[in-house]
Amino acid sequence: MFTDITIGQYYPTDSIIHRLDPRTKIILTFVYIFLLFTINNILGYAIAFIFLMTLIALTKIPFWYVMKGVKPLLAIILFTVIINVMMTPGTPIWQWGILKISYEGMEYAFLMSTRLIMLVIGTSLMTLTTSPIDLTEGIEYSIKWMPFVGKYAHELSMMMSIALRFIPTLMEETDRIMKAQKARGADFESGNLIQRAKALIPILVPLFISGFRRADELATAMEARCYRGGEGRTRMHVLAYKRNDRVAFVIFSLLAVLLIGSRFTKIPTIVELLKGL
Amino acid sequence: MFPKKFTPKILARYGLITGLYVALTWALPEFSYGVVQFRVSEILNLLAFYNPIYVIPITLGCGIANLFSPFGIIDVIVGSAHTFVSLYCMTKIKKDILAALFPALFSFMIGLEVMFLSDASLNFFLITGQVMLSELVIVGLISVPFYRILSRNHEVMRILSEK
Repeated sequence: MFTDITIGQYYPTDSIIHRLDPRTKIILTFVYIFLLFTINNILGYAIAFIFLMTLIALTKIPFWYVMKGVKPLLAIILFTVIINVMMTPGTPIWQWGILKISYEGMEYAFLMSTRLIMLVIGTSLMTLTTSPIDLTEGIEYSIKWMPFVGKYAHELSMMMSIALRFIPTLMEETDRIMKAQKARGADFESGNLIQRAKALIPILVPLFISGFRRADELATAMEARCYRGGEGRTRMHVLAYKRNDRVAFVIFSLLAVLLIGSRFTKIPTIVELLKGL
Repeated sequence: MFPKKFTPKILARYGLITGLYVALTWALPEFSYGVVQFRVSEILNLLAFYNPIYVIPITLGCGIANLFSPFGIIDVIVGSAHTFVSLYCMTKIKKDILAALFPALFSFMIGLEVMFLSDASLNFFLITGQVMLSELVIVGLISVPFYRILSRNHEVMRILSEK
């Protein structure tokens, strides 16, 4: 039951985006989110759309796989479209009581849903192109400079690594315990809420006990290998910015100039364009 | 809440709880992310009421699990902040049933996030209501009786209450 799940959504390919430093991807994801919110006209959206499509092509990940990330949010997107179409003031096309559909509402709804979809796809590209281990390392390097959290960067990263290492073990263990309890006549599929909560006890009690035992064994193994925290610890892979990372920063700077510049460009709205036709 | 020193034992135990949260979230991904959320892993939240040291690993687990949510890095920040604030408040309360209300109480943080991202104020009520309901069911209705029954097992409680 639990053994066949994939860890995260990482899609391994040998692309230029996959090879970027995880820190570059983390920083540029934040920059991308910020830039999306600076857009205020159709020109900006067009630039961001072309940029995003190019980025997806560069990752060599199938387009349908990238679009899977939007699926859980379809209801929010649909709801947002309906609210924006109905609530935005403007020239009405159709009106029934307080409900009305306007040209301006349709344009605003289209732009907002486009922004939401581009936001979801853009942010998911980071996790699609970076393995959880690389992400952990990237996060450790990225939070080092932060006040308070920074001094625990190594510990947090170690906890994340241990957690990722424990996940397959825990899945296997849960599966084994469930089968063992079912063999003893346990029923996990029927009864009301309280009965089902009670049914979790025979799973979680052995899971907690065996999990903590494994954790303590791991701690003993770490101590036996003289683990003493991040102080003086060396790494097998040291993160270093390469040429591709510098190129990525330059490209994003150009994107920032274009998108911020597009804010000050006088562009007709979709409604004005349609009226012109 | 924060240990004086992160010994290997503490690190391994924190890693275990973090891993457990992530595994439970990823085991049922269709119910863990999106509009209709019903995250089984939230059952671990009440651990913080029994032992405040679990605030950090559960918050971290929420952060890692949210890396793979549709809003990605934004959800990591807001979701972890929601978990941290709720769990921190839980540790200050003496009654389990009251402590279990905090995740639902702070669900407005998730509502604000979606409202800001989608630029539709009605989404605030939709998301806050849905998250609040799911938190009330999981942390309130399921977790409270679950941990009361679990607390009868002395071996588990001895392990869980170790500082």
